[in-house]
Amino acid sequence: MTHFDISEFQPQAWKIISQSFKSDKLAGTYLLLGKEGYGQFYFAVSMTALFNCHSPQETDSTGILLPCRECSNCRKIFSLNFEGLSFALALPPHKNENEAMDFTNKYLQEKREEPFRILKASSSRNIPMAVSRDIKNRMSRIALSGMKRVVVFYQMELMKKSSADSLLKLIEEPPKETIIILTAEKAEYLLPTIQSRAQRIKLKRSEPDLIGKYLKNNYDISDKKSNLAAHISDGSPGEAIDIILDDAEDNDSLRAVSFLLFRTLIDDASYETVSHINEMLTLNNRGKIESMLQFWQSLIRDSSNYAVNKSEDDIVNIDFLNEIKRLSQNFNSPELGLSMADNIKITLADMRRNVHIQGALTAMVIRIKSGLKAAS
Amino acid sequence: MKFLVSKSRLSHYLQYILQVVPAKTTLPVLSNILIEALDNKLKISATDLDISMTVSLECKVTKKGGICIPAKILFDIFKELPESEISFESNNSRLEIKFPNGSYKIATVPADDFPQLPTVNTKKEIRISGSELVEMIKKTTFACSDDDTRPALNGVLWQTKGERMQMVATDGHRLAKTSVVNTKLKGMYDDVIIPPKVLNLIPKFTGENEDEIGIIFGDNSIIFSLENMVLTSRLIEGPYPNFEQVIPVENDKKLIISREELSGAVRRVSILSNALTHQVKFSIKDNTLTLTTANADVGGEGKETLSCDFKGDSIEMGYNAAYVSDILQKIDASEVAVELSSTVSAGVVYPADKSKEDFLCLIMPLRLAE
Repeated sequence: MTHFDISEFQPQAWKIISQSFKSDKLAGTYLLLGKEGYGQFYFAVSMTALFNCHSPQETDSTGILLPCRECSNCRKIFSLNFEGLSFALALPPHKNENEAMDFTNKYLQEKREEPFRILKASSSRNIPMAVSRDIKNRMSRIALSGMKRVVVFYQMELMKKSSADSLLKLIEEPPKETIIILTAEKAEYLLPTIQSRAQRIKLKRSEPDLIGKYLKNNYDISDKKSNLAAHISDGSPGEAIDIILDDAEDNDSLRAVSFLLFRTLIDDASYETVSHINEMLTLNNRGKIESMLQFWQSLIRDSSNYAVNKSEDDIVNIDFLNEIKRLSQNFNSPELGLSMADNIKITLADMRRNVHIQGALTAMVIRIKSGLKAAS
Repeated sequence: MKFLVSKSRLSHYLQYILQVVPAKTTLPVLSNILIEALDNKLKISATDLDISMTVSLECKVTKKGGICIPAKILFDIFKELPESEISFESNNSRLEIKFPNGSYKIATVPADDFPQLPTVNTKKEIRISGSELVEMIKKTTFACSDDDTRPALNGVLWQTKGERMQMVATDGHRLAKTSVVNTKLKGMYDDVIIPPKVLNLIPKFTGENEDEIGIIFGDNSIIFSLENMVLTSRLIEGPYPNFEQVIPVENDKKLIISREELSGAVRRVSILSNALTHQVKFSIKDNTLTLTTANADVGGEGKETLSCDFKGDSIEMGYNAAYVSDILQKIDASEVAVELSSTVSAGVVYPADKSKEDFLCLIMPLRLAE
């Protein structure tokens, strides 16, 4: 795998960490904000590597520090095999500690293989109380000299309030030589008492060209596919990886990719997206395209309903709740939702009549785009 | 790395070392053991990050080196091998295990990937009596807490400053304190809080022998040096609560009773106690102790009367029978003394024929139902 330093994806955020480390002014607790696919995990691991690297490297132009990736600590940290790095991950429901550890190991293995990969589960996940308890227990041990321990509470918004409450003391005053890293999509998803105890670092969207380069270097895919994935990923390397790895073997991946295409369709005003979306759609087979369009219909229904009723109760695709709320701003006219749904219905019918699929899809995307433009 | 060792000899040590290898872990390297071939000596180490164990054995080393190998796989292979001299040779991330009838190859991990183990500086080692240490461990670890809100109580406090070195453990409901005359460690080290897990391993490896055990106090760890084995444990961050202030000094009532009779009666009566509280009522009047319990859930009642030597006004107390049993098990005397004050204050239990300074336990009473 070709390594890309985190500073390439998150230059501003990394600069803050590098400068704090250089001036020995590290905070006790950091809160990494942004979408999971922006690279929160990779950022946290890179922080751990910088703090424990035997010979951090200074980049020529900016003086930014980076972990060397070659010393024994860097090797262990980037392979997630470092004794000073602990993770509290959100897990699906499990029967016992053994099963919880299996889930954790499965997720860590996914992250080992691809640090930007978005973690998924077929059911809702949360950071179990037992995991927090275990971390607290480990943190009660005196840290080994010369080592900066790092504990990452990943996707903190998926922790129950009671568990989060029990961590306040640890977060407010981490033990000696220990840094706590919390990650969340948005600060307001966390308890105010937690927000106020951490230094916020905002992770941002990455440039599509950089994402495309990363994909081309690390995956055996065509330039066309990597460019398309990079452009519709909304600056999220994790989502771009989801797109290219999606063979739609599992339903969750298909939903995720379908949602990204739908979001691009609504958000991106340019007609260039028409070809991007169309090409992405046609990279899949007929069955998958039908499933994706049916999912779009349910998203249109959710967004229109929320625009009218402002009620979460009517939303079917609850896993995309926040995004649906945002997209619903485009559905203030009930007619728009109806016409979009009709367009998809017609396209689905056309596909079943064996018409030229690419042509039918292009026509559908153009019609939807025109409708959106007219409504705005 | 290349060395030759007999199957039985290595199996013996592998059994020890496997006790430290975690059954499941999120850190893959921990399921490995580190094998280091030095000058005619083999060192095998394992760690779960809390405890590390290193065993050393003499063997014929033809090429020095070190590697990590999956502990369970090695142990499973070894278990099935016939008794013979077995050769180990590592080459290109693989370890070849050869015996007269065949060979096995296992993928290895570089020795550098193994977590850093504390350095054993034998110059700083102080040797103390093994039997005394084991005795102190047995008398205290049972009272450690497992409450994560007060981590310091999850360990045993070992104080070595004064004329007597003492160990203390408490979970807030009971406390155990034992001390012996301090001949070697006096004033040399600060108080340390040791996780009970490592302490409970020491009696397993020392048995009943009287050998001395080497102790090395580190900044963040404590090292126990036994014959052919080094056990290391991370220390728990302090401070330990001021336990002295909870030990009553003016309990005016004193009960002396046969340990065996009391222990048996508590065990029997507790069968019908509440499954949650294990509450047993101790009524002491004149020279008679009556133990009673009632359990509405099963519609049962229990009562036993024992004769005792009691000084003071009659009193009724409620105790958790499990805690009383634990304490009585640790007292090595035919009679126990119990000092009491009121129905809400702690009782002090100790061997009747010894000083409280040697060993005492504290037990908090339960509130009796009206």
